[in-house]
Amino acid sequence: MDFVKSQWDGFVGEFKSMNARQLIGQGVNLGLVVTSALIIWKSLMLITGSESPVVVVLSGSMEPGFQRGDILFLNMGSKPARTGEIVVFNIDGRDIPIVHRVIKVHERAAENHLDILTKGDNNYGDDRLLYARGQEWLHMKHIMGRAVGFLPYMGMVTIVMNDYPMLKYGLIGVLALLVITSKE
Amino acid sequence: MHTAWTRANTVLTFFATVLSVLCVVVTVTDVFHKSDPPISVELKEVKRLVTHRGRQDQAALSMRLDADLRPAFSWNTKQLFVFVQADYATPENAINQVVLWDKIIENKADAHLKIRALRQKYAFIDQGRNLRGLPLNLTVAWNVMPKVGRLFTRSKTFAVGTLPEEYTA
Repeated sequence: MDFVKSQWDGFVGEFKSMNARQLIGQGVNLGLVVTSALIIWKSLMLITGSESPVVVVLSGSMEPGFQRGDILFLNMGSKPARTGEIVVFNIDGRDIPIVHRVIKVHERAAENHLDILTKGDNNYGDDRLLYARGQEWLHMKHIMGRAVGFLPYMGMVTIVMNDYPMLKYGLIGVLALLVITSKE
Repeated sequence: MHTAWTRANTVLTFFATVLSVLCVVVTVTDVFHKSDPPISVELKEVKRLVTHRGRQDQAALSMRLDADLRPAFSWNTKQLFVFVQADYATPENAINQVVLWDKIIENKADAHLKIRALRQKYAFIDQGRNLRGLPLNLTVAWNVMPKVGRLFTRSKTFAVGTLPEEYTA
């Protein structure tokens, strides 16, 4: 507790010793950190063509390949989906996108139309039960991207922060304090 | 005052940098891992060829598979997702891909598949009534799922003959 208090006093002291010019400068600094994160995210969206270029695996339906808390890098690309690919798709009326594997593809000869069926590697049956009522196939418009890269465990942070929101606010607060009071 | 924070920050940043560089290096080694696994798949028997709901053709196949996928494993391979699919074209559809069977292989030692009567795990149903007398290709594909880094799929396709001209009783 003493440590926390001395740190806090340190921050407060640091803060009080700043003049208006320094305060504004540190505010701009914090803004820069936030905006560069935003720039990186938006650039990734532009490069990958996916509205969510990095996703965290939230369920065990692709085990043992992907576990809860693993990170996937997505790329949309212009090519139509093919079997064996792991795609992330949105179902109308569902908030959370699903990461599953394509097991059937029927591509029309005439128009640019694709019928896709998916399945989780760890699930017994295909995904027709997950789709909207009466929906038999996915189409390219449902697909947000396909998994091209894998990073284990790193998404656990987001899962923990989602489960305990206070932790998230605490962490953001501490980081913001550090940025504001840091001397460069 | 801030030295403790600064030090912790420096150590963490350095750790994260080293870790990410290592991940990238490991992924790059997979690019140089070339393999050409010996694979053969044959159509052994067409057990059933019927119309499903009177609108769609359905077939039940028995296949023979011999695939030695041990060379496909590298030190960064977590598992292979192996599947056998039917590949064919119909008047309506330029491309039809129907996965008939799949398997997850987690160990290199288990990667030599020799299955004399491979039975379908998933239904082989066409979107129309086009399976009679159809020239069929079977593709064996393996999706390489890494411990870290790039996911990719390799495949080999075999022309395995045509399906029967008539429905089975």
